[in-house]
Amino acid sequence: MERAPDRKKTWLIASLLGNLGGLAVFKYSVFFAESLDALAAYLGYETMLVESLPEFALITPVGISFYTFQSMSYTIDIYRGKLKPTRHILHFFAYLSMFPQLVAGPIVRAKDLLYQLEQNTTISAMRIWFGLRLMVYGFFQKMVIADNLGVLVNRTFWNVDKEPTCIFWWMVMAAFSFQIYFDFAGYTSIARGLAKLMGYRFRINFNHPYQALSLREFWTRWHISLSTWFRDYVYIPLGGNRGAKWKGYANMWVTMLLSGLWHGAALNFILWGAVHAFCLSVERLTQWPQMLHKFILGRFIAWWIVWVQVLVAWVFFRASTTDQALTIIGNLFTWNFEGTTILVDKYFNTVVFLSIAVGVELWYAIKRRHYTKINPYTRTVAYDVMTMALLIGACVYFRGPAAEFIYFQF
Amino acid sequence: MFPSLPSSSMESEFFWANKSYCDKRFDVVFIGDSRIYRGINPVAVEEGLGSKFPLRVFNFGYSSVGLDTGFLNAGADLLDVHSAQPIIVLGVNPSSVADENMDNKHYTQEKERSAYTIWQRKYINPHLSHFNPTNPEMVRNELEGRKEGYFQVHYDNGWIASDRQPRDITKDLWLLERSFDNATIDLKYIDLLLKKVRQWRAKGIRVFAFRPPASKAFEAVLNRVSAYPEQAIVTQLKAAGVTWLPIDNRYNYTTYDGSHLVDTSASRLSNYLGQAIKKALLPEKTPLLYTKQGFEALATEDWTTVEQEHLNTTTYQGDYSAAVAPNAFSSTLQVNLGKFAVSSVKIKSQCWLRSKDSLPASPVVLVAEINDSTGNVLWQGQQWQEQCLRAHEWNCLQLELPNVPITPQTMLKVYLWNNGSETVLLDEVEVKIFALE
Repeated sequence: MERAPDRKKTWLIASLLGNLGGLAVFKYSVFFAESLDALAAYLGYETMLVESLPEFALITPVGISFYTFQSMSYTIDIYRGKLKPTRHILHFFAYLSMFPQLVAGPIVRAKDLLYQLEQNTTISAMRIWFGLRLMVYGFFQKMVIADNLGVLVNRTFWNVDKEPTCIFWWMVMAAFSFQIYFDFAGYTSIARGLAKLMGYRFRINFNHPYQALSLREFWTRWHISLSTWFRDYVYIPLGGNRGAKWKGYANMWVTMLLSGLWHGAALNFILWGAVHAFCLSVERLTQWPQMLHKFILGRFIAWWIVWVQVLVAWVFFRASTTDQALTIIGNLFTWNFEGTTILVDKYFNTVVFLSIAVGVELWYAIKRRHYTKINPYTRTVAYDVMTMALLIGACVYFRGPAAEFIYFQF
Repeated sequence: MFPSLPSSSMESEFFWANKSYCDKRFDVVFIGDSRIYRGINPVAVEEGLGSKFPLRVFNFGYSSVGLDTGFLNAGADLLDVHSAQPIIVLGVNPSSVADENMDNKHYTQEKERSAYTIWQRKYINPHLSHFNPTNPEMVRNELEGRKEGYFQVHYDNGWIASDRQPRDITKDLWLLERSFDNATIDLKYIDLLLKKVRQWRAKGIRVFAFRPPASKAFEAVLNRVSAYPEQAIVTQLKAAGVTWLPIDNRYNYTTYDGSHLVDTSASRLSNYLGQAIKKALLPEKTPLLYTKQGFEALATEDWTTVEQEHLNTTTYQGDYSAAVAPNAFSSTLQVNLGKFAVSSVKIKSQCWLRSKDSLPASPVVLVAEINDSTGNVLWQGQQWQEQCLRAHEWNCLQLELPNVPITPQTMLKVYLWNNGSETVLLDEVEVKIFALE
């Protein structure tokens, strides 16, 4: 593109087609084939597209969603003139395939990593300590909180009809909310920690999303590398919220639906994106968070509403079919409190780990709010060492049953 | 110092590796399926045996075991060759003699593990198990003394102390109804078991056997779906040299699923078995009378004379057996029990029978009659059909009268009565009379 600027559009299109083509073949071919088969059957025709797919198309390479987006961001940034292409082909492949973030992100931008690859970085003892600390924290998030919460979640989703009580389902969905958050955030922390040990710096991917006071804010805190990617390479090129109001909403819907589709080739993920798009539309239209902030407890109520929206959306993300998702949503909003009094006793583990998850987030909020008072105690070697020892002990003795990272499937 | 929490998977792996590749040797080995490895506490057996028989006991139970020769040999290999009293105790139930279980998948799986895996599980796991994970519920249950869910503690002696809360002894009955859909009790495996028992006996190994207790409903369903010929198997095992251990009050043991004993009941049963084995190991009392009719001579003391034409050269032992025609009686033992200066006796009788041609067992009865001056006071018969496995082969028929009060005029008669329409062959009729304390 740099050598032939008059043909850079052609190169861009070729790159995008190559990347998206690979993604389409390996990740979405079955989904598209099934959808077309279903449509044809509805119209009275019989097609067997799924059976006609070659076998290699049925295997999804690990991390394809992540490195494909990284590759596209590199090409697009060069096209836009925001990045100069690297002269070192190994740097390019290192950027694409750096192992800490290869399988499940974060989606690193070329402009953030390439310059680091070109530098000779010294890895200080402090950096090693911070890297290890990040990794330990990541393992704690994943092994202790996410894996333990996953026990009840997985068991419940295996048989959704077993317990229809309202409170039980709120508890399960709360557990899943924290499971997916700490699972992914844990992975990211480990990836960032590993990168730090090698002398590289990755941006944070999660900024305590469940403390958001609006859904818009939630999306600036959740999976930041993906949401900013969609913002920069889909939403803004489509026009963002410039121009007619309806166009802004349409662009937002397209972005959220594509974000859902990125997560998986299934209707459920698209519906998950749609739920977020709908809630974001309502928020944009009514500006309800700003209105609520004017009242006492308004921020708390706003936080609660965001939490409910996100939690309900997670139902579509986790359910295996749309029917299952609708059944669960029905259970969430059917006032059936039978058996509530024994929930704590019956699901003691889940309650404890949910409390720990909430406690972890609460501790962060308290530290942030009372920064000056707490920092003298928490920014000490003793505190660090004690915390690390506690977290390592928790990882050893309170680890949940080993489970694959949730975002590995994407 | 720390609460003893239920075993982890690492401890389970060590347990099975240690059992499958055990370096130690023992005096007593219990062999059987999951009802053995959950139901027999070797320490409690040793306590039951007491100081008179300080024997080392091991539990060689595996899941879904079939008592095939290979598995039996593996269990017997754990006996100490220098043991003064080598003993094998078999847990026999319909499942352990079903053809479906003869491949012993669980045992085979353990034996097929790689050398590295075995080494890791035997030598590394015990150290890694110090890092076993726990969870808040387990800690709470331990502190409050609760047992919830599946509770298992693995012991080095081969026992898994088990319980499950809540207990439900009927939940799996529907599964049990289907358990013999594709399985049968193949008599060839019984033959192999009997052959193995005889080999052990010939080597001086005492062999005991029992049916592990389960819930009444469980046993009823299992007996029905398996058509388990229990009496026949028990009799033939006894004839081969097994000391059968009947379980008194067998439904008084608590199971958590109808089939497997909870840990406390397992210990109680084990202690009971230990005591029963101890009693059996004590020298047998000399019988007041021991008499045998082998039909080698026409006239034998205490027995009625045999007619020459009733002799047959197809024999269980020796040169002759007796052919008992339809609706006829065999040579009869007649003994005056009053000549023994005791108030009551135990009478054990047995004989060997087979059908003359390859016919099914006919209604032949081994009879013990007690008469006194008033007439017949007791008539007890044991049907051959109930104890016979294969009528065209020699099968043992046993009859026991555990407690017979006697007077000076009490007369005992023992004979075989052929109530069927086919001739049967009879050999080696034995009667033992013991004084009761």
